[in-house]
Amino acid sequence: MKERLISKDAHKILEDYLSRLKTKLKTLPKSDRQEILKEIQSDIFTEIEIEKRERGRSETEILFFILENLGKPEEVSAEILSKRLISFRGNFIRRYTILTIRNFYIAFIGFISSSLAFIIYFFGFLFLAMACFEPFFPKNIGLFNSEKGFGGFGIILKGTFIGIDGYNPRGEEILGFWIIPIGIFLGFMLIFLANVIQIKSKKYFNH
Amino acid sequence: MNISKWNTQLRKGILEFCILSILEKENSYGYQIIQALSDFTGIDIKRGTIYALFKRLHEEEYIDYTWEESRSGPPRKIYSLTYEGKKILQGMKSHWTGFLGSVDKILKGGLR
Repeated sequence: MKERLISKDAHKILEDYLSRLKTKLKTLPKSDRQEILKEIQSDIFTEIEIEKRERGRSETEILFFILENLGKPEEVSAEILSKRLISFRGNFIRRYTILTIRNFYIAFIGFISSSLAFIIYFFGFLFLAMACFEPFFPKNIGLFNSEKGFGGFGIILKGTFIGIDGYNPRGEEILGFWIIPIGIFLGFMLIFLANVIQIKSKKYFNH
Repeated sequence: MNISKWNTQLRKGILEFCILSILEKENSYGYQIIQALSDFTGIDIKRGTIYALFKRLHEEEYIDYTWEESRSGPPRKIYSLTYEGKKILQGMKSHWTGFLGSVDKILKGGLR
């Protein structure tokens, strides 16, 4: 039915926008989400039809104007989620149960993503530290071999291995000063990745 | 504080009041309300804000809606004012008049 209302190009642009918005609204209950998307879509169809009839503009032109005015999917979802109250009805026990489940879910996902980010930050800082301290302790820092293969990647600090441990007994360090560019590169990559996880998860829970 | 930010904040604050006032006159669907509010929307206030407000007003049970078939396209979500909505709108109106009066007094008279 939708296909007949607007052209294929316009339809594709609209579908793309709505699917992005749908993803951003995934914390809403499914029925609420569907209602909002259906409503926005219905209003857009109406506007396209009226604008086309009265001003003779092309569908894609009108659509771009509407979507620009709606705001980016992340802006629209942020508004909708931030203005959301507890939208479920029913008696107190039911509402409190749903509230608990939702908050537990948020806490759980938050815990997982924070833990993951923490581990990644840890290795990011470790790799940077490896690069920094390599000139002073070249024998204790780097990639080690062992008779069975991989002997570890990290720092030996007073006999304790910090990093990704491998088979014992550890053999020679094999990277030498190469650890400086490699450590800097890996370190910054991991810190960047951890920042992305933190920012994304904060956006996910921005209500 | 810059003037456009102040202007945006000011308009955002009375959007709900405007939406309820529009619905008091006539049951309407989103596009009609957005058109009526077109002086408000644009660069500063996105339409997304209005959809968010519909949702909030509905959750607070000030407005209700039904889906109605339309002749030319997909069904339309028609909003109407509830009894609670009418009550709060009356309250808003009297505050609004009082508010305009006192601001006007200050603008004209300053400390006097």
